[in-house]
Amino acid sequence: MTGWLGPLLVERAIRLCWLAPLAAVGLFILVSNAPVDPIEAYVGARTALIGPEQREAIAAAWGLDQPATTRFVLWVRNVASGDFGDSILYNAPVVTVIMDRFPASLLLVSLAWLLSFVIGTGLGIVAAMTPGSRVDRAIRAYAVVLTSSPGFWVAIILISIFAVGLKMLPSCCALPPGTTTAEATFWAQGRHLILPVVALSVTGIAPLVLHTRARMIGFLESPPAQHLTAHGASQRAIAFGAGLRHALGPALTVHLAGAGELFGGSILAETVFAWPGLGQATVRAATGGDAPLLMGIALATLLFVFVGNMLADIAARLVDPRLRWDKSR
Amino acid sequence: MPICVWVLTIIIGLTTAVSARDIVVAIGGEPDTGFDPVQGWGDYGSPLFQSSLLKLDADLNIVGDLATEWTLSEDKKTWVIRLREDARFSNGTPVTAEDVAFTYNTARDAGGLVDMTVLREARATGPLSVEIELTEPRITFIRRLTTLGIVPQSSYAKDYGRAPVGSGPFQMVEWREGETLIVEPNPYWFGGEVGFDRISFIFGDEDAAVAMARSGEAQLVAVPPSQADDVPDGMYLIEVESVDNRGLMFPMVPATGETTQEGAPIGNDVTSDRAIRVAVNQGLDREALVALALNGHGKPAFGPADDLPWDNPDAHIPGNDIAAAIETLERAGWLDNNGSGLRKKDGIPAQFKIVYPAADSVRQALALGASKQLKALGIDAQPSGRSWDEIPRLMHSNVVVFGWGAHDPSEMFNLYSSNKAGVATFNPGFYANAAVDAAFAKAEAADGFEASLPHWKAAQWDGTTGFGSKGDAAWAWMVNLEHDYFVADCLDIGRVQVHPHGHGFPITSSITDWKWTCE
Amino acid sequence: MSLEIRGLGLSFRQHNGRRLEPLSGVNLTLDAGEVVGIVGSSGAGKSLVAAAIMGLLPRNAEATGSVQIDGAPITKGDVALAPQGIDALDPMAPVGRQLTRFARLAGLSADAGRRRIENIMQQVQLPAPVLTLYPHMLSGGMAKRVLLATALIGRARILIADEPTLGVDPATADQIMNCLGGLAGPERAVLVISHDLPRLLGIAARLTVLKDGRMVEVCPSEHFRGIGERLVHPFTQALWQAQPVAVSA
Repeated sequence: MTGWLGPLLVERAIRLCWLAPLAAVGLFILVSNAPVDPIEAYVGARTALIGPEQREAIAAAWGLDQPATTRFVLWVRNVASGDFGDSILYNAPVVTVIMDRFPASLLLVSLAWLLSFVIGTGLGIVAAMTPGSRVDRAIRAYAVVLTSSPGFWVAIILISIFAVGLKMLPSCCALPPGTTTAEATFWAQGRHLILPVVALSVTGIAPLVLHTRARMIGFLESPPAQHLTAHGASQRAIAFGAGLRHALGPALTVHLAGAGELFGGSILAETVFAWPGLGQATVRAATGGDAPLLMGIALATLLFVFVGNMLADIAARLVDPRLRWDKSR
Repeated sequence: MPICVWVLTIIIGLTTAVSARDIVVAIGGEPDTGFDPVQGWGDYGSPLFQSSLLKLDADLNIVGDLATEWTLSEDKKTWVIRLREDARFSNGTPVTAEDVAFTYNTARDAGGLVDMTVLREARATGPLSVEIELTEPRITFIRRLTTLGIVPQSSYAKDYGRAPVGSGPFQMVEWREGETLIVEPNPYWFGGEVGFDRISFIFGDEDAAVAMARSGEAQLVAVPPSQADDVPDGMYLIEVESVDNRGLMFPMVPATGETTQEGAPIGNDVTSDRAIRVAVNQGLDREALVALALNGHGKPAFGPADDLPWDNPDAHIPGNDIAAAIETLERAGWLDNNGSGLRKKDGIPAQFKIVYPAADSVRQALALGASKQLKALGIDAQPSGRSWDEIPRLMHSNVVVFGWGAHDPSEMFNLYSSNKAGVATFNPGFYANAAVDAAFAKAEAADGFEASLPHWKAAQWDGTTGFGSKGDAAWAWMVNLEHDYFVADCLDIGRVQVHPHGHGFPITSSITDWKWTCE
Repeated sequence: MSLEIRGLGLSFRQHNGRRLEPLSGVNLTLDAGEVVGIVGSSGAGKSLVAAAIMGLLPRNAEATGSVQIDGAPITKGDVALAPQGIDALDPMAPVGRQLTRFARLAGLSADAGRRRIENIMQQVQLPAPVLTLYPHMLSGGMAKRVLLATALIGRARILIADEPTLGVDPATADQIMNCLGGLAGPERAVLVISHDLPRLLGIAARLTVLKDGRMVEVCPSEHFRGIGERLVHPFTQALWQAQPVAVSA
């Protein structure tokens, strides 16, 4: 039954082998041509106090006095031996910087991913069961409003209602302010996840609602559903029985493939909620011209999106048996 | 639905109160590179974990911290310093002269954010005595003595910034990067008791910080001027004066077609005329600019270092005097003969651009406000919003809204010395005045910091010349920002220094004096 | 037990407001143990009769006439349909899971359902491994038999098979048709809709002939013999004479 999986993985591994170097070259060209002076960005507010000689010393310390091609060759050579270099901004190995922050981002992104999947497909199915009804129209209107709401705006609204107004949920951080990781309880951590996860999940919901709804309506009007109806099955039984796979399968594929987008959205959510994830580091790296870190993050993101897409393909095949044959040709 | 209610009940039930001896502050200031003085940590505010040789008190006077005595040698190139005996690092080991020498020499070679290029060498001459030798007389090096925190030679390593050990008032409990820093008192600190068992610094953006103040989660929060008027319950507003200033930088030389190495044009035929620059200084209504651009949260600026010890009030022109400004222009030959509202001299219209970074709303408002006010003088100043990438190409030939402000007179040197003309963003207008350069040289070569003050003042205005608005009027300073904070009613943060450029963390300069006044 | 269809008609309202009557005045009687056929050329409205009985009509359709079993309106589970198109099978579920769905709809417990499915699989002559296959892996004949199986699981009293041999090789068609013939019994009547006249004649007692939605002839199967001299309507005669087997039979 899983004979298709091996060839798929091999094919993807080959694709990654040419995609990653290509992306690295492209990224490096972009980064080194970005109109950001890494030294000026590094000096930042201290610009009045750092003279030209010290700037040269900083440049030398980070190898920024070398031409871009030399830096790239050096970078490639180091990466080949497993060394992704040091982040200029954080003065720490790129791998350390990423690994320190990635788990927090992953937790946020995966919970938001799950939440938006549950809400999005749930609403989509409910809307599909009575197309054109008031419920259906309300759900679709909600989806449209969500699509056109920027994530950070939703975050600020959530904060002003639940943190400032009702004082019910914390507005910031991964843990209660003033508590160390060791002191924080599981519940306390959970509470701090709620607002960021909800804010982040918002962006992914709308496309899922519309997609699930369209697929479910399509299935409910299809011959297999009619055949079941003719033998006494109710709309609801069909939707939540045979229909689930038809609606959720494609939704799962779309949602997995969109996980990279969610990762992008986490940048804003992390900033608003002071969430100690990779998002903030990404913004800093980009605005600070921190080429090694930016390259590291970009490659990590590439891998993340790549894996997301691969899982999407695997999920699609698991859900729809017809695809398993087509691809083995 | 009942499940929701149940979950909410649990959530509310878990909202635990922070005990009074712990406080949470949201004032930014997270150093990306970690808490390593050698890499630049500790520039403003408290270095928390380290202590420096000297420090600035609330009036910006220099007082000892680790040092008990500090004297400058005859040739003014060597600081001779005696350390206190009771200083210990938070791991219990004593602070020695070797540690001090190690810190200075390491900072010099590190290529970090501490400019130590003038340092020749630091040497331990005894267990508690150090000599710090410079390559040339440089009185402003004392600024390094007040900011460079001392690190222990024995345990200093590359990852020091993430696990700092120092002789300051606090030790690190946990740093969750991008989110929070938790510190507790260093039991070995020589300065005595600190008023709190734990202080947590929350990082993140301004809006999140203000939200924490409003939800009662934080006891001290930096707040942008636009939100300062809506003080949350249980808190009060403090408005700290600053030298976080904004002003108009004038190109000082005529346009002769000359360019910089990068090809940026140099010079401006209008602003190179002193009469124009003086008239702008005389004509600007700075109070109106404060109201317009800062919502009233600030005060007029007349020089680069208003109210700092090295400021010379005699160099200032009060401004808001249109009649005087017009007289200056008329006397210099800038006339409006055809009633067009635009003055001309020798066929050149009194016209220039005011360039500002388009993303900065305060600078935009200042540029627009100044432009409007100058219209009354017959000067056509056109605001022009640009990106920071474009400004370096434009700044040698256009008026630019810049902002500075440091607790260091060497900033004046950077802005007005002919040495720094066209170097980085220091003296973009190519200002040069031999008398000013001489005053700077005398200041740097002074016997001590106090003794250097008259020379810094003379550079601004010595009765006949200077870079101040009475002299060459190389800049027209407009406003000093005010830095606003919400503080819990029970928190007493003591006396606060005039803030430098940078809102937030400088408030911690008095952190060891903070007290909780409620029970 | 007997199914009575009286004056069954269908009308559609079209976009231009005109009415279309693809079916009218259809009468049919079906008794337990009987196999009855409906024949006619494509587009004669054969499948519409099945749809009307099952209540599977488009929203803009209006039905007239009555469909009753022993004088009462039909209720859920009385009639089962093996549809014509194999697209009525769920492409994303293996055969076994699909049959289980119908077993559940018929109110069978998991255990009883499993036994029943085993039973039916034998009845329609499908080997057990077919249960694990997905529809796209089935041959045309297998798919047709799976469709038949879905209709057989719930013990409906009336079984309707719509074109059960369409697109199937002759040997399989024979098997399917014979299988259908054996399904009629004391508790069940079978209605077969097909244009496979020769095979239908092999199992059906009576045939109803439809042309353009109207009944043109109802007659016992014996009338289809020779050159169709006992057939009344010219269309029926033409239909019969077009069959290669007509003269020999």
